[in-house]
Amino acid sequence: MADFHAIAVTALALRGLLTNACPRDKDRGFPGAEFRVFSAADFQPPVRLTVGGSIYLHRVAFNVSRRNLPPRTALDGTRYRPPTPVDAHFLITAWGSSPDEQQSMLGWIIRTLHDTPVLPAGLLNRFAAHWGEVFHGNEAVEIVGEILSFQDMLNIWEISKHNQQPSVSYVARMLFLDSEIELTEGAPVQTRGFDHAGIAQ
Amino acid sequence: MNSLLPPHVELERQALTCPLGIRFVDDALRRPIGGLRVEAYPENKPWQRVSAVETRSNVYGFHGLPGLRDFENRTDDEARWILESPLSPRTFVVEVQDPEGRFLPSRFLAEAPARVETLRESESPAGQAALRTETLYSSPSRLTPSGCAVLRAQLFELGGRGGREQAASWALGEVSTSVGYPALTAVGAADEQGRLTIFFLYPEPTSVSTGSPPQGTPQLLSDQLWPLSFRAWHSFRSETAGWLNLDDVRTLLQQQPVIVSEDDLSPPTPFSGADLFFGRELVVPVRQPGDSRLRQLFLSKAV
Repeated sequence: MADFHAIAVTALALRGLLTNACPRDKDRGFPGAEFRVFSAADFQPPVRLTVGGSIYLHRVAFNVSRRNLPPRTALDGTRYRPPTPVDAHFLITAWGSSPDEQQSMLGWIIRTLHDTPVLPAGLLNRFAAHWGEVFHGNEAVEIVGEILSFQDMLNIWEISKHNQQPSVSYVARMLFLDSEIELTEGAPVQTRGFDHAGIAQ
Repeated sequence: MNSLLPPHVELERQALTCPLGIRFVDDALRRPIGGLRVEAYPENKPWQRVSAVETRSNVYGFHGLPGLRDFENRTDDEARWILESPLSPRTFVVEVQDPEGRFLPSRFLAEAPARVETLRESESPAGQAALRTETLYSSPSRLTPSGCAVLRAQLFELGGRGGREQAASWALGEVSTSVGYPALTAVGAADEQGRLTIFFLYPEPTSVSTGSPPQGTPQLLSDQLWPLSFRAWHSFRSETAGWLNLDDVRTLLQQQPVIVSEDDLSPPTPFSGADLFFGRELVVPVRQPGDSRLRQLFLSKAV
C-alpha cells in the first residue's frame, strides 16, 4: 500500500529504469538519449527531446476489479481505512532524430519494459526522492502493455494533433493509494460482560 | 439528563473471557495471516481439540478450552487473573494448518489463560496490545508473491542414516546480504522432505542511478545482483512428526549453525552463498554447465 505519491513515483521509476538501461554506444545504441516525464504542454512544438522517450500520464482510472477492499491491517494489528486501487495509464513515446532511430527506440523501450514487468518497492522508493518510503516493502507495481483503440489514440493526440509520434501505452496496475486514517477501534476485547437488571419495586 | 428508565437494580452479571488469543505473521510480506485453521488441545490429549475463531483483526481466539470453563465464565473482571490452583495456567499444544497450502503446518506450546494487556502509551506509541504473535514459514507450494525474491534448496543430512539418504526435515535456512538498503536477513524452514523455500523482499537495487544519464555501460535491472550469504540450522533428530515445531525453531536459531556443503563427496565442498539476480528464482547450489552433480545441499553437525 503506497501513499498518495505512488502515481508520481511510478512515472519517475519508469523514467529511471529506461534512463539506466539505455545503451548509449554509437553503433547499436542511442547516444545522448534522454527520458522525461511529460505533461500535455510538453508535446507542443518545439519538443525539447531529440533522442529518447517521454512518459505521459494520459489516464487514471479506479480499478474496479477490486473495488471493495478490506481495511489495511498493519503488523501490530492497527487497521486503516481501505486503500483505493487505481490504474495509471502511461503513454510512452519514442523520440529520435530520424524515423529509423525513433522506431528503434520504440522497439527498445517495449523490450526493456517487458523484461522488467514488475517494479519492486526497493526500486520504486529509490526514485521517491525526498518523499521517503512511498511504497511499503511488500509492494510491487506491475507494468502491463495495453492496446489503445484508434479512436483513443486520436483523442490522446488531440493535445498535439500535428506532431503525432509513435507511442505505446502501458498500465501500472493496482496502485494502492493508502489511507493514513486509523479505523477507530478499541483494544482487543478479551472479556465481554453482560449486566442484567430488574426494575426496582 | 434524567433517565427515562425506571429505577433498577442489578440482578446478575455474566461474563465471557477469551483465555487465549494468537496472531500469526507472514515474515516475507510482514503482514498478519488470515484463513488459517488453528486448533489447540491439552498436552497428550489430542481428542480434546478445540478450534480457534478468527477475528476481523486476524487474531485467532479460543473459547471452551478444556479445564478453563470456570475461568471463562467468572464475573469478577480483575480477580479472575489472580491465577491460583486449580486455575493455574495450563499448557496446550497449538496446531496451525493452512488450507491454501501457503505455510508449513506448525505446532507450538502455549499457556492459557494468557492475558492480553494493552500497553501504556509510554511503552508503545500506538497503545497496541501485547498479543502473542507467531511467525509462520512459507511452504514450497506457495506461489511467489509479486515483487518477492525466492531462494529454494533441497536439504539432506550429510552421510544419511543407516546408509540411506536422509532429508533434513524441518531444517532452517537463513539468507542475508549487506548490499543495498535495508540490509536483508530472512529465515525460512524446510518441509518434511527437506525442501526449503525462503521468500523475501528484493533489497534496493544498487546499480540503478537516480541521476541521469548514467555513464558507461547500461544498468539493466535484470542484471542487478546481490551476493547472498546462506546459513542453516538443523536438529538432526530422527522423528518427523509432520509438523514444524516453532518452539524448536526458537531454540535452534540460538545455536551454532551447521556446516553446509554443496555435495557429499569426500571432502565435501563447502557452500556459503550465491548471487541473487533480479527477477529470477535462486535455486542453490548453482551449478555451472557441465557440472552433473545434483542440486542438493548437505548439512552436517558443526564440530
